[in-house]
Amino acid sequence: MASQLKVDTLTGVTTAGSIVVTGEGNSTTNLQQGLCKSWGCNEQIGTISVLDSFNQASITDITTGQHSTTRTNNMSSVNWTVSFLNTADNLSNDYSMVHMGMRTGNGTLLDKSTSVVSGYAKNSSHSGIDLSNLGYQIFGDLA
Amino acid sequence: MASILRVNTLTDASSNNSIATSFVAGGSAKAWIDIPAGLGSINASFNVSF
Repeated sequence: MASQLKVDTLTGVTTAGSIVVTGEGNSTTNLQQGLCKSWGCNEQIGTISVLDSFNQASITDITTGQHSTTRTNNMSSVNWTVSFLNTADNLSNDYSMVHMGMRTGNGTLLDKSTSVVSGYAKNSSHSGIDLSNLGYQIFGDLA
Repeated sequence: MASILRVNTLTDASSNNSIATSFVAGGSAKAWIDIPAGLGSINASFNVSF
């Protein structure tokens, strides 16, 4: 029988921040650990703007290809992970094989904090490039 | 006491923002890891075995 649970908040009984969810098979997973804690779909071409987002408080255009965003609800530490959108273009090498990662200087992270994640998009010529619909997803522990 | 709720859909008390529990299970990340560059160590992870 189909059923529907109407609640505004889900909280674990044994541990408030830990709810077990049965996966697609027989294994279980953890609701809180598996949730994306922040994501963004932002427009960087022209004036930077937010197309849609979750737990993203602000966005800053640093320079060509580089931007940073902040969280409304911060992470508990800097030990979280992020994935960025990449693109490929069939017409222009300027937009081909665009790869994006957190900004670093000689391998040292420049901006990563409990609130801030920055992104640096470069094309196949390793030149910074502004992206349309640039996206990211953060996983880790909320504060 | 540990408890299990068997439901097909979660929704808020105002009947908005509903989501099928199949999306909760299917749409949640099953594993992630944060490894600092060049350090050969692990900052944090979920469901990763070494």
